[in-house]
Amino acid sequence: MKRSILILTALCAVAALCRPQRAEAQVLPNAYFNIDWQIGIPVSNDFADKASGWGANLEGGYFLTEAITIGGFLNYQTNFGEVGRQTLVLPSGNALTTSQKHSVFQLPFGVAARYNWLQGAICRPYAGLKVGASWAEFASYYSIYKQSTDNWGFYLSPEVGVSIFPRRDLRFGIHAAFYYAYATNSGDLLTYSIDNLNSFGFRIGVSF
Amino acid sequence: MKIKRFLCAVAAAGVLLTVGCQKDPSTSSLHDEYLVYTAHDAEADFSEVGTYYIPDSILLIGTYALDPNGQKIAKYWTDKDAVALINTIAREMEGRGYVRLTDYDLKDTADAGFQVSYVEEASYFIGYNDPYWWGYYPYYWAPGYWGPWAGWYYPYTVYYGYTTGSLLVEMLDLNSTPGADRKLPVIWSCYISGLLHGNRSIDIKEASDGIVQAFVQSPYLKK
Repeated sequence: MKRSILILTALCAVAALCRPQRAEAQVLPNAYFNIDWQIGIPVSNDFADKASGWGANLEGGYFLTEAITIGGFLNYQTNFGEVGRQTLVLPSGNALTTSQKHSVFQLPFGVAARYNWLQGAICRPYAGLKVGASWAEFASYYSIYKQSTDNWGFYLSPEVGVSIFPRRDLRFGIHAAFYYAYATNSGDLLTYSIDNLNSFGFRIGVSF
Repeated sequence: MKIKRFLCAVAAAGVLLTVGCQKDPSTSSLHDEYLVYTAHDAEADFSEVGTYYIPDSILLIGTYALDPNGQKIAKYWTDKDAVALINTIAREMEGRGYVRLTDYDLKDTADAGFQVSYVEEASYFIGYNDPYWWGYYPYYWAPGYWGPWAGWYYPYTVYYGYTTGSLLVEMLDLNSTPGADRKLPVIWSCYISGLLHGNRSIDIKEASDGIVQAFVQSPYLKK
């Protein structure tokens, strides 16, 4: 609860601080920024298969032309899974009987490119691609213990979205996007083997 | 001014990312369940074990008794609940073809020995590369109890924490050659945690169920 209040407060602060004060004002010339809440839905991942809203996305870019932007991004996402009580025969031959909760945390960052349409309109759709590195941690929680492994991978994520600016003279509005993400993060934990991470999801936030 | 506002926004975004970043799942429901972990020496031939000896009491870790001189000495759990747990181990061993020696004087002739401990209050840590636990805890089953060995060792990886409300069952290879410079190998170990429901009968039942489960998940334990 405390964390949710902090996130909400920070989001409101970002929105308030970035709101341009005069017509056509931009925080930085020829640049855009998005701060989003992110919902991620794993695909083909039995380790942590539940959709989760524990994610956020931060992105900024520069208009090379009126249609093409290039910039950077950083986002994070945690997804969870539950495993009922079972006996795991570990690679060492040892055995463990317990219930578990799993989590996969991803922290990708890198370069973001977009092709934008209808600049100057209220609704400005775009198609984009994010490419970069991804750090991921796979964790199993059982009893009072946490066992985890982490690694780096390559990240690729196509995305379509729209920025909605209710006032044409004010570059401050709502951002919504749909994305698919592929990362090469893999790992072995207890008796589980995770091979690449695939997911899709939604982002909603502010654009300025 | 614009740049200043932007930097404030970036700082706020930083707060957003920092406080909201990684989320741990709720694990409170996991604490209500007991865990059973077993490990063994893959080189040990458990079919070679014919007889075993198990003391009639359970060592209590984290608490002490005092001798007449006021010196701290080991405290043991000896009531009917302790006996019930020991009998559960004996029943499982018997079911796998092993013979229990109940006469203390025959202890030295047994092929294997059991030491059973319950962590009542303390929390100790043990790691394969730094097994200082029994060095730290002064009254853990003393090597001299079993014979002239220099101590114990695990011939396999052990890496877990012992916490309050845990039952430990260890099987030692008493056929190992004794010596002042030789250590007694623990060839099978069982760790049951989560026995802290605040209800004695539930804890004892779960401990007993945990012992049975420990044998179920150790199919190599058979004569």
